Amino acid sequence: MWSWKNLTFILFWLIVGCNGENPPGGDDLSQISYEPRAYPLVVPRNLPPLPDVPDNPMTYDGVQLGRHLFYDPILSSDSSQSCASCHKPEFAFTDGLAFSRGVTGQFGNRSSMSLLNIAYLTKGYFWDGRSATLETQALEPVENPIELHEMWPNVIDKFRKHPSYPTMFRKAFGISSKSEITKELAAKAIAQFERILLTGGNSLYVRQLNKEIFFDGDQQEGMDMYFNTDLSLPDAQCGHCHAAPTFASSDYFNNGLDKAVTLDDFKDKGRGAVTGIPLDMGRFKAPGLFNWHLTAPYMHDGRFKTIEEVMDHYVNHVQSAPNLDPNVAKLVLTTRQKNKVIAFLKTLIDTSYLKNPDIFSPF
Amino acid sequence: MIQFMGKTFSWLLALAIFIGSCSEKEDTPVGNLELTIKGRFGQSPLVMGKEYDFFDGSKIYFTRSEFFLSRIKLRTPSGKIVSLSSNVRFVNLQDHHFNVENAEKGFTLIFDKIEAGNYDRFSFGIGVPPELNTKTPKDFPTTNPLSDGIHYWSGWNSYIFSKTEGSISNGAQHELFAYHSGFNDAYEEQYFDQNIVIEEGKTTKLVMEFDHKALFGDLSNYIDIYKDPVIHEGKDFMSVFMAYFRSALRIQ
Repeated sequence: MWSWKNLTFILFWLIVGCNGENPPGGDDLSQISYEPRAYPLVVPRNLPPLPDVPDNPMTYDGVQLGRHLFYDPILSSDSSQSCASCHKPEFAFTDGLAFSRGVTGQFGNRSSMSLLNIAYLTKGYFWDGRSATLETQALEPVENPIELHEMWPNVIDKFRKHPSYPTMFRKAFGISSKSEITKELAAKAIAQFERILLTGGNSLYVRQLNKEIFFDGDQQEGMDMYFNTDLSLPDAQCGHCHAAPTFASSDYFNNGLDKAVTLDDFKDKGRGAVTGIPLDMGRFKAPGLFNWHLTAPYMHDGRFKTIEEVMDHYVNHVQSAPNLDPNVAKLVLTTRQKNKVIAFLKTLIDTSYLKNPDIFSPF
Repeated sequence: MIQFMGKTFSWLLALAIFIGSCSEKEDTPVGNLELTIKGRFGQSPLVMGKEYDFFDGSKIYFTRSEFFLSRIKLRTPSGKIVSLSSNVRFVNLQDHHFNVENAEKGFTLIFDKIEAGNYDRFSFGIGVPPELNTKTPKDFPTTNPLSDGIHYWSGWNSYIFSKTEGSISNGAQHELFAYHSGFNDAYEEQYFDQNIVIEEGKTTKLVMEFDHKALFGDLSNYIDIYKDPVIHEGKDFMSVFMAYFRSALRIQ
């Protein structure tokens, strides 16, 4: 039974395949023009400049290839899922679920992370930082049996036989033959695409920093508690882990979700399972808070459905452990104060990224 | 005419390259300095999460110890100052001091292309110097540690110079502590008068110990962590802490 989605894919590739730059029937791609040009990236206001990635510079064609691969279910074993199945633009590139379902119907054990501003992370990717670079991160979901459940050699074979991907790889990376298409190049393209997923510059928070607007009383008090700028107010301690300007951190924390008498007691060992360092057990990355309203449910296991539940956890339900972060140990906020912090968090909403046509499916 | 101009330009270019290649800087023999920072608690290697005896008999352990070094310099006997790095260096002990073996290895910083010769003073600042502390993370590319917002505290309009976190208990009381420092007033400079020889093409090793017991004072006068488990706000307390911090560093 053909779905409209399948038909759309076929129609898309038929049109793209007729663009006059089809590769010759053989392996050779060298006759296709290769004219790399830098991707015109616009960094949101108040965010740091993005670093050069010398071994994977962002080009227009590289980003376009990455965009196609990101949305193409060709990466999965049964052509039913793509990266975008768990990272949807409308959910800030999460999927709105506590746990994502892979192609076999199996659920994962961690919540899908937002990809917005992922270019700024420097100390590992995934909740536990198990991938050192965005490029190595992009390799993993394809072969994960509870995600896309495919083998890279099969994916590469599909790329090489595809009507358009050989040309797109040529334009992105200057390869001379189809045999030069590799999983590493595919991952580089996906990483280039992910680096354009930026947000925050049009948030009320940044507009307030630029003196374009003024916060109301609740927003201001909420920010004062978030950053502990007004010592007459309680310290909400948020800024230690969700630090400006990205409101994220590259580091890992135990934010008191689960009680642990010893460091061996954590059911999900988080960062500790990667490093083997005892104090890393039960620690997870602190995700960015821009557009948090689109990323529920919250925490690495999606245990909190609302931001109110998150605040309630930090004020009333932090669990002890030998490596509990001291900054979350003693939050004392009234309901009214919690609401003021939430009023400030709402100033971190910036959905203008959804106006960038390059972030959506090309299909 | 065009041909003549082209030839003249070529000669001038070749001359410029020749002169440039003979610059004093390139002829100056250089070597490297390897600075290893080892966390200690008194005389013991500092292992994160391991309990030690505090001054009052309490059990104390650490979960985080990180700080910035800046204005790292050597001085020759004639008084010439050689800067080893134009940027700050971030020292993170918690990712290295997770067992005794790694604590003994320490955290290493490498400074290269240092003019070979004899030096008699090694100096540095603890924290982010005032000229950089006016900036914010958005001013730096992500390859620079100063771009990471986790090292910046908007409430202070300052970088966080150091973070020392952990836990202390005595049976009756238990506290998690978080001593973070910042503000220009808390910036401390330290120096050690020591003969250091940098030899051409070689790496000179220097070991600096950071005593996390001395970080809180000494037996006659130490910080009451139970009373003040957090120093996010208090500038005076922070200055006291940073003075202890300065004296907790020693060259082996």
